Amino acid sequence: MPSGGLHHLIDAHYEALYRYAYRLSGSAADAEDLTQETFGKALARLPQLREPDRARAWLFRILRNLYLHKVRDQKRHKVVPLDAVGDLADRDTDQEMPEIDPAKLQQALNELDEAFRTPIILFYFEEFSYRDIAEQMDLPIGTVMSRLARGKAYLRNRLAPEHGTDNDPDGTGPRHEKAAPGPKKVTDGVP
Amino acid sequence: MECRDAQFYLRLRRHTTDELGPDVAGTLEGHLAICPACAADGRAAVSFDRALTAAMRAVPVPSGLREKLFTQAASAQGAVLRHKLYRTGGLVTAAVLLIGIGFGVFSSTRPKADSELLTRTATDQANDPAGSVGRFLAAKKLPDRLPMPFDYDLLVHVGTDEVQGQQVPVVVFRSSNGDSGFAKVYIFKSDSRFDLRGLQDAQGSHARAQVLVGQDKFRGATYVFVHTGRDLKPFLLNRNGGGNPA
Ligand SMILES: [Zn+2]
Repeated sequence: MPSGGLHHLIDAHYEALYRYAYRLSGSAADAEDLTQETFGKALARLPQLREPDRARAWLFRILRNLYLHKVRDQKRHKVVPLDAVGDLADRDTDQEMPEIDPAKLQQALNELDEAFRTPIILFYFEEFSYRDIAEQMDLPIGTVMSRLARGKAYLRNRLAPEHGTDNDPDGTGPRHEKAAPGPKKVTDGVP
Repeated sequence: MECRDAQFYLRLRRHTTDELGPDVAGTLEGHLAICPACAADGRAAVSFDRALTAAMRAVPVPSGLREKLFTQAASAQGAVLRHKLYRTGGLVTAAVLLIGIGFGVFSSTRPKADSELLTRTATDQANDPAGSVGRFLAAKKLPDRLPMPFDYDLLVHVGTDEVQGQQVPVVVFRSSNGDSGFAKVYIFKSDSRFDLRGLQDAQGSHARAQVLVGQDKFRGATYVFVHTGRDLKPFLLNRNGGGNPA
């Protein structure tokens, strides 16, 4: 591919990739590394990109694989166990949701296992359909929908106004070290 | 549909495109029409989605990232090109490529423009052409002047050109002859991503490339003078002196 093509690919997708990486990793430094590594890998694999229309999904997939590879050996995650995520019987209050602090959202995302975090992030990058998300994650579409519903229920509880004043003095959110505040029990690691 | 199912689907309902399918969507709408509690939850879900979408996307992208990615891509592509050049033994090809780039054969980027910055740079260049070249080269960690006595009143441009996928510093002069002639001085760092061994002079139909490996104060840099005409005389202060770098 001529350099113009690669430059076009960078221009078209680097911001979305960075935002995705940031929301996945919770760290600006990691997000920058992941974005750079993604384009590095993409350049080497350009011949595999058969449908240019699918470039974004392809790049997102490369990035997620790099991220999973990075965290595989790191037992630093403290995440909410799957069975604590999203009790669907919870009835949310019928109130207008005020603005959500992006740092607080990151804090809540960090508490979620990647299996829940990724579909949530992709869901809100609206160009990803359920089918896209299922393909990204190599999962049946029903599993994606179930995880989405539960992940959203968790976030809704976690980010509801009554939780809005909990501890995050510097406003940056924790990396992964801090246990999740709020009503859910938190345990180390998830299979 | 029961309330539990309705709440499950409410969390999946998209407000831009409906991916639930007509069956589920229809049944869900039917339930919402008769169940005030779920209807209220539906409204709360819309409100939550709106707030979460805004927060999810509120990630400032570092200003230097785009530049880093372009440099990285250039570096990786340069490695591929260098490999190809070696295989064909075409180091002259490299110099001819330089000339091709000089004539704008290759195009590349679509940068975000900052007119204020451009004005400052242009003002600096107009007020103090030699100084602006010196500061530019120093910022690139290169010897802060050129190894030939160029007439800086003829300075047209100082910046970088994309050469074989790499950004290379370049200083451009117009000819004092009043024709459309020009000279471009490409400055390659010895520790750069280019393999400079065996780089040699080249002749194209409209331009010539002359190579000068920096010595003493110019150590660490290799200069490629790509210019129209027979020699560099029309671009130098002392136009009666020698017009060739070596
Ligand atoms: Zn109901």
